[in-house]
Amino acid sequence: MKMDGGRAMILVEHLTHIYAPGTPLALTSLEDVSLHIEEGEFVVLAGATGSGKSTLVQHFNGLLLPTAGRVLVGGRDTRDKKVRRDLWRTVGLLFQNPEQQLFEESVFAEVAFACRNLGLDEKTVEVRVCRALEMVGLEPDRYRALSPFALSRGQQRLVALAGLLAYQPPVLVLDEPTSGLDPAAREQIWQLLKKLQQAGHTVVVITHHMEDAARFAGRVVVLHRGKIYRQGTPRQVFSDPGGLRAVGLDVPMPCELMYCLQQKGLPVKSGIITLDEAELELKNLAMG
Amino acid sequence: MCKISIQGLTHIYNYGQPGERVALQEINGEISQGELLAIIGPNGSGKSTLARHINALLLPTCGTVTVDGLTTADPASRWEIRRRVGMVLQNPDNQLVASVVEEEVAFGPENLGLPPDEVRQRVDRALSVAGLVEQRLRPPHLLSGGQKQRLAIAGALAMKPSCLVLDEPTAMLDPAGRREVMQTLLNLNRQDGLTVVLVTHFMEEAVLADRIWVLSGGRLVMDGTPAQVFRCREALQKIGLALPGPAELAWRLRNCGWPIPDGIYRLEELVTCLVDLLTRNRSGGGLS
Repeated sequence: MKMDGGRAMILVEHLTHIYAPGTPLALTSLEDVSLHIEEGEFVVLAGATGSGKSTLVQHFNGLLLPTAGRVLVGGRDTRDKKVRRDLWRTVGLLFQNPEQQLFEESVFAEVAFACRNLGLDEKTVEVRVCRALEMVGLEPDRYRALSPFALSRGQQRLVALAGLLAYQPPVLVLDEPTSGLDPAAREQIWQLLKKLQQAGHTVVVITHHMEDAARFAGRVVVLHRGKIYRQGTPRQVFSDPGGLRAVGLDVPMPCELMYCLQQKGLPVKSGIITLDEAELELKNLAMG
Repeated sequence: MCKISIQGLTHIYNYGQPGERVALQEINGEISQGELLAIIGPNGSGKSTLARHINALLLPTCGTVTVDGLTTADPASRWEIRRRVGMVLQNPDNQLVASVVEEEVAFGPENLGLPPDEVRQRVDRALSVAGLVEQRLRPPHLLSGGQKQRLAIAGALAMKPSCLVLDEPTAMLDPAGRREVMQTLLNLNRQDGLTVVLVTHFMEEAVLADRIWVLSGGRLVMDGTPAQVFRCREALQKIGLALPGPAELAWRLRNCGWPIPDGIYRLEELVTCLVDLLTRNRSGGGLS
């Protein structure tokens, strides 16, 4: 899959979403949101609880319909029922805590589910499932026959992710894929997502882990109370720690550190967002 | 005075059946009254299993767990143990039962058959400690994640426990929610003397503890203060854990010959140290 410069894979135009419209419990979750995601991009969606992130991504695979505005995926309008019916083939969505949606008797069957729904023959399914399990670091022979419910939470997470990877949708949308995982598992998943992006997938990740967003995202989109608060490269978005904290987010520790040093009068460069950059900048400072 | 004593604790899931899994092996440790103990370890290391032994949700396959001299294996002691040791889990939605906030908090005391005045008093105190007085009449499902976890804590507090065990209580929360919950826990520990056992993946939370237990492969591999534990960078990396950001940076600079003192693992400490070093350096103090 090649990157076609400038072609929007997902186009969101003046999207408004209201839950329970016209009732006393009506809640405007998204308000006039416009956004485009190019093919092959790696976008991080960030925002406090209730900012509308999960609502937004459920529009990408047609699980939710706009109250106003429209969403185009690959140029096709999600308001069309025919488009929505097959949208899962283009956009794979991994919900938060996917362990809660595991249901098969064996890890193999769980990962194979979507492939089988694609109508692939069993030999292809076998290859895809094994490769997907390997990609997430679960040895196929060791895990295939186990019940998903006998695994640890982190392993269950990896099985759910493998289920998505096995059917290879061009767009991968993951809602907090690393929440509750240990640092090693988090790193493994982020590296995997980066590899998938390099192989041509479009990757959209909702996360609170700003350190990871700083290292992997090409673009960060910050939501606040249903609107886009700010967006840009990680360097641009993290240049204002105060602004992010005001909407309930953190900045990566290196940013915070540099900001504190700046406040104390040290002439640190701006735009530092990773640990490696911080280390380098400090050494440069020391050499005068 | 010793509060919780764990001796030779071994836990095997599905003992004697196919799919038998050793989750904990020969754990020995003591938790003193008023301590804030953090338990860290990679996924599958046995953290959640260990946490559930402390309030007798799980019983040992071998070994003993005693709380104030009461043994968890003794059926007659179990309910008293569970009164003394409250538990808060990761997913707030899985542990809230009532449709009104203050009824959620009243649930435990009411089940104890306490007189209404006593229940009212306990509910008011718990809501106040958890900062939820203004939400007392709201439905729990409309609260934010951070508020829900504080509600779960309030529910546990209404039982007047002397110890609170929390299994990754902030894993599903956004940064603002995490800060709220951690502040509540710190207040309970520092001001009210409540023993707190916190299972966490976040090193920034572990650094706040008096002591840290590190689990790996079901064994207790490290037991020490944050300063002691985070000194062992290589050992932690080998089992899949990372240092807190500031400690990692401090280590890297120290490794290049910078005179950074031991025991720096919080951002404020690192800032103070770097400001001092770099200011001296600029006036000819001589760094690398």
